[in-house]
Amino acid sequence: MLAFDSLRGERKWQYPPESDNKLGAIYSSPTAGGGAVYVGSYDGKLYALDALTGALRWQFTTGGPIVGSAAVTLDTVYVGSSDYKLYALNLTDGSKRWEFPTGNKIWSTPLVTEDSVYVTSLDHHLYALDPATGKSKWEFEAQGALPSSPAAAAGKILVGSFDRSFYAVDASTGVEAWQFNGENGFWSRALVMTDTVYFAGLDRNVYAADLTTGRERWRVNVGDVVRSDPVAVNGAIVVATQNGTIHWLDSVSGNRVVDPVQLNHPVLSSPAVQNGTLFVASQDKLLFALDAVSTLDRRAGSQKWVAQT
Amino acid sequence: MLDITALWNLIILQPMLNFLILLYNVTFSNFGLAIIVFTLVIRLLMLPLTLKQLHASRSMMTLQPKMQELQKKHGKDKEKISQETMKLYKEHGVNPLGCALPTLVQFPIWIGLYQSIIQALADTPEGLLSLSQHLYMPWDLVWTTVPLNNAFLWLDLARPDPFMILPVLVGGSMYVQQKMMTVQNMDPQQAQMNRMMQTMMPLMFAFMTIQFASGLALYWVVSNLIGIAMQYTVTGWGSLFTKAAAPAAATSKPAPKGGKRKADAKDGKKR
Repeated sequence: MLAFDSLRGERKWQYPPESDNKLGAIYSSPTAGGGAVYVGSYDGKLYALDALTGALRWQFTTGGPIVGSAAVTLDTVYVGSSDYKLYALNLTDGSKRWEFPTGNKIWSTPLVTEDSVYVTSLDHHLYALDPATGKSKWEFEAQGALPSSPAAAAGKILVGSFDRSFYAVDASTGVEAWQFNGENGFWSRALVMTDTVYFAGLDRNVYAADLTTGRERWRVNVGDVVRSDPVAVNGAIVVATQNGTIHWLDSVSGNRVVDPVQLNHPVLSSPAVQNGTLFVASQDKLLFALDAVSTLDRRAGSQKWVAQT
Repeated sequence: MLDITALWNLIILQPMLNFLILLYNVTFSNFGLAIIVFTLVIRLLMLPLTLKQLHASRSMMTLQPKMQELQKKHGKDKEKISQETMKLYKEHGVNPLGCALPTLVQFPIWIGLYQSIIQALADTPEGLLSLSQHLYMPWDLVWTTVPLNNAFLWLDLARPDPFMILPVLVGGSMYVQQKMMTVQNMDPQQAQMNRMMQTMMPLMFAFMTIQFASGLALYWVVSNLIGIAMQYTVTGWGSLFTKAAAPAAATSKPAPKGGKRKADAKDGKKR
């Protein structure tokens, strides 16, 4: 786990501090909250690190590799594990509040709203849980495994499935609102802007659909599999394909805003945007900082810096 | 144009992978059972080749007395012995390569099966991602089935056997099968080489089993057991209970003690 200066790409700290002592592989994105960053590792542990120094605050060991990211509220950290369970942990010391067993691995990031925690599992189910007790409120069964993280908008929970469908489910009842059929499975989390939901598929397409009805508005073939979550940048949808090409698509028409940028490094993790900079981590241990938007003298996608992780 | 990997995926990996996932549904969502049924199907498909191999090995056994005579007749003239042996094989319609062909044919199956097991179980995120690119589009069933349950008996089929039982079973069953098939060779050098192969091959496969996914080892064990049963029906126990004999002592004793031999001189003829 590494922290970089976002302006210059200089390394600030790393955990563990000794370079020869490493964590397991990290598939998830770090989540910030309460002055700490929380990161799950394939070694089955969730680490809470001081955001400024990288010092370990606490760690919690689950029974299997952690693939998804943690979700953080004011007092609780939620994280799913390949041991089939969702854990709710005390933010301050990592002690367990409750755990919820599912029927298969949890590779997604839980979604926390005011009154529910939503989590998907490879057991084909989307679960709505009481955040205080972990008791199930309802469950929705898709036809296939659910590796994608749930997203919420307009009273709906949106999830992509390996059964080649994208589902919208009523957030309070768990009843299916609509189902969108793609040409391959869906893994990435949906992005919602006003009345449109955007999701990328393993079928190499990025889709825009009506949030209320699920009717397709446009689709764009981006040439390779998309596992990472799309992000919104200044009215554009930015997606990173597995072969390391970054696409800027107009949210209304789906047209390319700028030419795609080829990093030539494989990308599975989701890009992050901050202060006009798009951060993309590649599978081969590089962190790219790119211009997220075009300005007078710089085109979106221009490289600001690249750091070795 | 298709590259080698794409071609391999198209004709080996994808058919095997999708068929295995289909079998998983038929076998009550038990991947171990699916692998066993898969093995039976593969052995059934290879039956013509296997029968050829078995008859070739039985014919070789029946030719042993004649080969011993050749040894005696030509003494240390290896070239002459070799020529006469080939002539003998030709006369009786025996193809020595017929014994090796089914084994060679199985190599791509092993590699394909190994890949299919790892892919189907999709134990890692990369695995699931890769799997999504190999499933047949029209087969809804395969899309809704994955990822599969990887537990079978004491095994996680995506990982090696932690109790080392499968390496012993793979090595043991392979040794028995090879020993049954072995033709007593009068050439001490050749006999020595046979003995080494009989020991080295099972050891090598047992070693591979220690490191590979136990699903593949399950295939090897079941395949070997089927092979032993088929070998038994054609040649009996063959050379299984025969001690490696000294050339002089072994003359005119092609049938092993206690062995159930059905072969006779006529079986040397090509069928």
